[in-house]
Amino acid sequence: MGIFGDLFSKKKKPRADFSNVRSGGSSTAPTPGVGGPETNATSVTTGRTYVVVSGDSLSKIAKREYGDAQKWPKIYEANRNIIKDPDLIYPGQELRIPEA
Amino acid sequence: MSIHQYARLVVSLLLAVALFGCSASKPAVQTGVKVTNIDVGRSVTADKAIAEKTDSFRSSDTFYVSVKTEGSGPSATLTARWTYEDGQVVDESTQNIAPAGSATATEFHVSKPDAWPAGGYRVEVLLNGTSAGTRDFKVT
Repeated sequence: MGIFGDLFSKKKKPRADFSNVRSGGSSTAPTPGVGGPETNATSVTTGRTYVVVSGDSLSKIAKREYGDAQKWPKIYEANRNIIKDPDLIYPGQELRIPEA
Repeated sequence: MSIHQYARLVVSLLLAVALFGCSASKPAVQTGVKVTNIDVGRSVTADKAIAEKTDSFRSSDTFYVSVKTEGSGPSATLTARWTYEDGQVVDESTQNIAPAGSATATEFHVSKPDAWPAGGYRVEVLLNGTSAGTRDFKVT
């Protein structure tokens, strides 16, 4: 095979799978055609935010963010102004994720 | 036609071609919006600024990029293009904004439920389709 055999036998590094990446965003600027600045769902000034997607639950988010599903009440308490029932969160809701 | 008249005609034609040629290649829509700052980090404040700047993330982190703009315009398009190592696209998100003059901030974020692969990442910010800057960071 020689040098060509070596070249062709090298395995390519498998490509990473980013098919489940979730994205979002927001702005302090108004959107075109809509007057006034963006209104924030919370009055919190610091903290990570997370946009709920279909299939999420507070425990799933807690597991992902903190590595412990049992810490979901921490997220619930930080978002009491927008979460009325911890079993009911909706896609598109922007939750504040307090530091662990 | 004298040599001077002929030369004047040639110069005029060249100028006209140069002027119309340049204006034709400009984008159709010009806005007064410009990107003044790009930061990446792990969290954002309520005013969409990065609260915790870093270029080194954990695999469970959410990546945030905050884009500050100045100027006004009826419509401007901001895009965040996230790529991994050799340019593999991770995500691309776009927001349309209508800044009214004062400084504004726009944040984009991406998360991955099953952890980010370690390595180098880049986020490129585009304003109306034109690159406004990049930031490199890594996941360790």
